[in-house]
Amino acid sequence: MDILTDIALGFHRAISPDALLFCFVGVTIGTFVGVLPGVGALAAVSLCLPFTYYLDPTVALIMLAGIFYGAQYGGSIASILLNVPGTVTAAVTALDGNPMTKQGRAGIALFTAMISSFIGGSIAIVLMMLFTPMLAQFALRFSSAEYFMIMLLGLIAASTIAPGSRLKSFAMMAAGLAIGLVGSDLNTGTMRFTFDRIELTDGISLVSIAMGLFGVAEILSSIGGDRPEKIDVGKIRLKSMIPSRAELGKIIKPILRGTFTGAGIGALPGSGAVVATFMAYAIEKKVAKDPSRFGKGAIEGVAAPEAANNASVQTAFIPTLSLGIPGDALMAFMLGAMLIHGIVPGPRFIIEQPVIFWGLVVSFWIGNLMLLVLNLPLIGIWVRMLSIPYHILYPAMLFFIAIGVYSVHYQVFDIYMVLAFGFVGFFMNKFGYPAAPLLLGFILGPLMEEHFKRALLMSRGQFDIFWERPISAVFLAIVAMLLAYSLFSIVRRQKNSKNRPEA
Amino acid sequence: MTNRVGKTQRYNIWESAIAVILALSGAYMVWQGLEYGFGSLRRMGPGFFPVTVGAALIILALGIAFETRSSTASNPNLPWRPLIAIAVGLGAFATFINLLGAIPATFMLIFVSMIGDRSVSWKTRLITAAGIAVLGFLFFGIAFRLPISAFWW
Repeated sequence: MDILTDIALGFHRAISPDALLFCFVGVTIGTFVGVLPGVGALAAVSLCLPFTYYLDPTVALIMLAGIFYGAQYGGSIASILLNVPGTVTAAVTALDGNPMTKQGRAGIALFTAMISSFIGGSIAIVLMMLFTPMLAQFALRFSSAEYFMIMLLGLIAASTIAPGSRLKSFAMMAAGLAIGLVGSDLNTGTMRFTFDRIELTDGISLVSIAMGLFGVAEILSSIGGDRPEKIDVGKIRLKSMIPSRAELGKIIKPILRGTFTGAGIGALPGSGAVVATFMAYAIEKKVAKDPSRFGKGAIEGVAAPEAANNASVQTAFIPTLSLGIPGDALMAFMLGAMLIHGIVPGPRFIIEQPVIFWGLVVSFWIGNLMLLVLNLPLIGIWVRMLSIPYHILYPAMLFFIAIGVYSVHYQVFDIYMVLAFGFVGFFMNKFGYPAAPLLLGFILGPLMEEHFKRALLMSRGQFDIFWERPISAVFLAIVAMLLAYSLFSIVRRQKNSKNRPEA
Repeated sequence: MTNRVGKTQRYNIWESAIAVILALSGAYMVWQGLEYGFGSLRRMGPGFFPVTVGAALIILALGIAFETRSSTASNPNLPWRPLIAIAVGLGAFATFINLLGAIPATFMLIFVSMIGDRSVSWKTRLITAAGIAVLGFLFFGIAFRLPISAFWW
């Protein structure tokens, strides 16, 4: 019963006062930004990263992760009550959650969302406890060839799954790899693309990129947009949230289906919570006896996506922690944050740092419990947050961004960097260039270069190494398939556009 | 060009310009990468990755240029007001944080960037800017003890 000792170890760390406090701070900030439309989880996590430098790494990670899954809880509140999804994934919840509100069943919809999230998250955490060490054990056999291939696979998969033009996603991935090159080369010390600026010697900081692309860019696109004006609070009492026995019976199966859909998809490279949530909704619609109820307040349409959403958010940590391969932009950011804190996720992480790993995992569960216990009674407060006008919110966010990025190295250069990335991100949004592959490329780039060099050093310059080793060959085959599929879809896109009538 | 293709499928200068920028960045990377030293497969130089990524970027940019050569997307209506206000606001913060201190720099950041939203009154801008500047300093300078000074003295 090794695993029980490990979990006990984790509990010991996670219930220490500092861990509990920052877990609470994290999930509270997370819920807050989840409720607010126009403030993404990634922007919030990158805002808080500089202020965690002084914390113990375990506590810092507990807090950052708390923001991340807290935002998933918060996102559902605004989408159910007001039909304004605070996060992309919450848009699915709005499909049936908001109609429920209009029918006067807001309390039940909220309760369903919370309990589904909690059950989904809890089951996924158990899966995480079982599979992360197993995967890490397996990955101990990996050499640089496998690492390079699986990172390439992660990148290609993320770019293939991103909506819109494949070519644009791939270009952003390449741009991310390019930005990751800035700074001094690890092996030779050669300054690459530093333009003789001393500030660029260590590369462009992750915080500047993330705050620019996901914070400033978002603000630039949102100013002057429509905001919900008046909100009717006070109707939702704790009593109206308790569902009937029949309703409880109706949501159990959708929750379980959603959980396993979400957990499976979340653990795959390249696919995040968004895919999981949409998939869970589609599955519910398929298995339902009367699919026409969906979109008109079907309780399953709230339960399954919410469970899937939270499950995928938790299992996304499996490849990140065991292999060091993030599945989406948020996980890439978490990986970057860990590296900043001097923690290198990967197969050896669990063995060498059991307290951090198990403490983090157990804190997920504590955080989920806090969210469930605190959010239900506090929903009125969260809803009132929505009435903060955007013209107060965005200047405050800009201040947080500016002071946050400045406090990393106390150099003014980083503030200009954020501004530059904000503008780049704004134009990327406008023209359908996704930001997620860029961030993923930026973080994986330096690791990939390192492993690629090492693999070819091992094989004396022969590319055979990538297909002679069986695990690497499997990854290579999947990469080839994804590329072939992308090429096919690019060509098809072209053909379709040719059919358009020419004037 | 415009005459032949018609109104719906216009040659989109923005899309093409972005593709050109990407291709030029790729070309620059290849050129610089070769300067850094490409090395051999067995012993890769610091320029190996830049050249590879740069080449990929050029190919992808060409593909994008081809794909978007006749885009139905209209040129964007740029929200000049917020773009300029936020650029000037953040620029002012960056310029004055060391010269004048945190409170004046924050005040300028908030005040200028709030000009980006035309629906807000001057009074609100003034009060919000002053409020965030003071509260922000109390929070970060005093409570978090960041080594920033409130004013220039």
